[in-house]
Amino acid sequence: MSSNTKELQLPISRVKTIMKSSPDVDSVPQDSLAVVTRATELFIQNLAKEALKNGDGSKLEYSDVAKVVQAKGNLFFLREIIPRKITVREYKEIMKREGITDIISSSESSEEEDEEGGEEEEEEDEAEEGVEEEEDGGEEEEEDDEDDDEEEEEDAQR
Amino acid sequence: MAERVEDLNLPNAVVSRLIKDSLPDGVNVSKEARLALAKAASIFVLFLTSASNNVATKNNRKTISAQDVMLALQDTDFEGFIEPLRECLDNFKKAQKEKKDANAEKRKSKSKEDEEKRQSTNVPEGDSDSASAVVVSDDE
Repeated sequence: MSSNTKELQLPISRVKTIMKSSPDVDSVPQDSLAVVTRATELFIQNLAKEALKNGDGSKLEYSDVAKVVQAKGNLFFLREIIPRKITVREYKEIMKREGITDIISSSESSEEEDEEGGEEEEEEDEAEEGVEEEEDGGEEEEEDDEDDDEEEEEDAQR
Repeated sequence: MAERVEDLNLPNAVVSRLIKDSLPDGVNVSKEARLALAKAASIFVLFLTSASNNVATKNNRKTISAQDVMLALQDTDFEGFIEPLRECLDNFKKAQKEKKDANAEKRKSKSKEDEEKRQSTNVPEGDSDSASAVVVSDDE
C-alpha cells in the first residue's frame, strides 16, 4: 500500500505541461498542481488494483484494464482510449450473428468499426509486434472517424 | 502552444513504480497493461483539468484553485480521492509555509550579517592604513 508521503512521485512539471495543453487554462497555482498530480497517482494505483481483480491475481494484462474501463461508470472518458480487443475470428463471428455477412471477406476489414468498439487483431498466432503496430495505425484512423462523427452529432443537436 | 507528443506522456519508470507499489509483491504487469495505464493517467490529467476549469469558470474565476479540483473530483464521481487529497494539500501547505519561514529567517539573518559587515568596514577615508576598524560615530 503506498503511503501518502509529502513527496510526489510524478514530475510536477510534466503534469503542468499536460494541464496547460488544455484550452482555456491560463495559470495553475502550485497547490492545484500538487493536488492534480497526487490525484493522478491515486488514479493509477486505483485503476491497477481494480484491474487486477479481473485477472487471476498473478498477472495484470491489458484486457484486465480494458474490462474495468468498460465496466466502471466514472471511467467513461477512457472508453475510446482503452477499448477491448478482439481477434478477427471473434469479429467475424459477431458480424455473422448480427447478420452482416457480406462486408467481411478478408482481414482488410480492420478499417471497419464494430458495434462494441473493439479493435481487431490478426489471428492470435501471429507475431504480436506486427499486430500492435497495425492496431495503432488502425486505432488512430478509427478514432479520428469517430471524433468526426461525434462532432457532427453535437452540431446536429445544437 | 505546441507540445511534442512525448511531453504529454508521463515517465514510464514512475508509472511502473506506482503500479508496482499498489499491487501485491510478485504480480507481473504486462507491457501493454503498463502502457494503457500510463495513457489513462495522461488522459485523466486532461479530464480532471477540464472539469476543474469548468468549476472555476462557473464561479467567474480564471485560475484553477485547489478547491476547484476537489469539487471537480466530486462532479466526476471520484469522491474516494478527496479525503487523501485533503491530507496531501495540508502537507503541501505546511511544507510551503516551512519553506517560506526558512527563507524569511535566512533573509533576516543575511541582512543582519550584511548590516554588520557594512558597519565594520565603514572606515573613514584618512584611516585606510589602520587595520582594526573603529565604528564611526557621528560626530557633529
